[in-house]
Amino acid sequence: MKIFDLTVFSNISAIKYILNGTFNTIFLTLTGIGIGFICGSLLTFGEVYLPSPFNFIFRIFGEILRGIPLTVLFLILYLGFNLGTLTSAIVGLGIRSAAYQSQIFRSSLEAIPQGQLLAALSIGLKKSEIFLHILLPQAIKIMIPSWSNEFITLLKDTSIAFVLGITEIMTRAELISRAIGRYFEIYIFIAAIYFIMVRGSNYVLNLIYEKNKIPGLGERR
Amino acid sequence: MKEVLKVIDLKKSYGKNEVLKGVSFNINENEIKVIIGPSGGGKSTLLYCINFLTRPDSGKIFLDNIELTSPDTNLPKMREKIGFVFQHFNLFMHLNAYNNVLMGLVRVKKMKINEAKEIVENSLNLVGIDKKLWNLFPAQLSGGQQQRVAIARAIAMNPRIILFDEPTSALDVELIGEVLKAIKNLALKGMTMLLVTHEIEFAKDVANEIIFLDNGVILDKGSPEEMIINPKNERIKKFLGIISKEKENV
Repeated sequence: MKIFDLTVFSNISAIKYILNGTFNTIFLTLTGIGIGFICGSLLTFGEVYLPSPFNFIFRIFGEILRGIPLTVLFLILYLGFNLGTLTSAIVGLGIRSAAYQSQIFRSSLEAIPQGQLLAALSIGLKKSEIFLHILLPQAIKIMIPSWSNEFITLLKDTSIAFVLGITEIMTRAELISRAIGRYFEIYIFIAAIYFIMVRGSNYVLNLIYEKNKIPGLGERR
Repeated sequence: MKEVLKVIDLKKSYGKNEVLKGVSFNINENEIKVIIGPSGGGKSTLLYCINFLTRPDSGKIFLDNIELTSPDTNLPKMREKIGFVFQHFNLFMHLNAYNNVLMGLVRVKKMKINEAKEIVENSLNLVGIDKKLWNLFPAQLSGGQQQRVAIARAIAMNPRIILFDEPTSALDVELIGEVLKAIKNLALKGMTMLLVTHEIEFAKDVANEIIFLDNGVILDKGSPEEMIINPKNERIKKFLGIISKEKENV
């Protein structure tokens, strides 16, 4: 028996079956990052702008989500809250990403030198206008690199939805490899798929970063 | 002469530390008053209290006879009329020099971008910021250039008075001159100004009145001749002595 048997890849229908899982992986990534973006913004708002003790509640919520493994979170949602498998996967990835994205948003806001807020007040801008025209545009530009990392982490973590049996790449690879009795080739194959998706996302996000980069912004003195 | 700013018995404490212990003065139209005094004497706090970047504990402030310290004052509206130039420039990092000046005109005065064009260009020209610098971001400008853009940002709003908080103390020595020149240009245009500075020679040159603030109170005030050339007060003499010694060391 060969160590790496290339004939495994001549099984077109099996390979196609795995490749089709890419759509589910991308779907989970995009819904997760989307939900994470919306809920993460709310978490940040709660943490930064609400008076205590309310901001504290938001912070605790984030701490808990960051403090438990994704697998456990999935199973709590699926078995504890009786959500469906797909719902558990989407909600689990979404709220966990929210916890991380909120940290990214908060630290980006905090990276903006406070003197600019005084300057904005001094020319007569209102607080809401300062947030919209001074803070937000800078925070968005500052957060792109860390946000890219979160996107890629989430993309890879969709594979954990395997525990729920969602037929994304990982689950499909597991089914196929068991059926044909070859594990090494199939897992190397999906590793390559993940790698290509990660590098591709990285490339695009980096282009966005370079296009929006402003000298001196986000660099700590 | 028309009175622009009047401050009456202004007090401010940080915890137990009383920074301003009742400060009163006024400024008429086209007047330039310079506040000097030792560090920690309350000079910056006084400026920050005037446009409520720091809330004063008590006392009254009037701008054109409208009371800022009254609870129903529209603060953004009043701040629009009070220019402020900071020690550390505080330019908006995500905007180039031109847009830093444009921001207030478009977002506060609600002007169209093409309506504001002339004002922005005039303001930048007045402080000597060359057209080739207009597209540069703050981090690409020298400290002196950043401070001049900050001055342009303040004057574009057409304020009744501009407050300067040690505008040259964060600058390298060779850049101080260009900023002082820009301020002098404003003085020649008749801008009403209140300036906190350690540049005694400059103060002597532009000020109508010099105010010596020490330990939260106005110790003395008077013309540059009375205050700097022939100071009577021992504290002021000592302070000026320290300042000139520091200059020699540079």
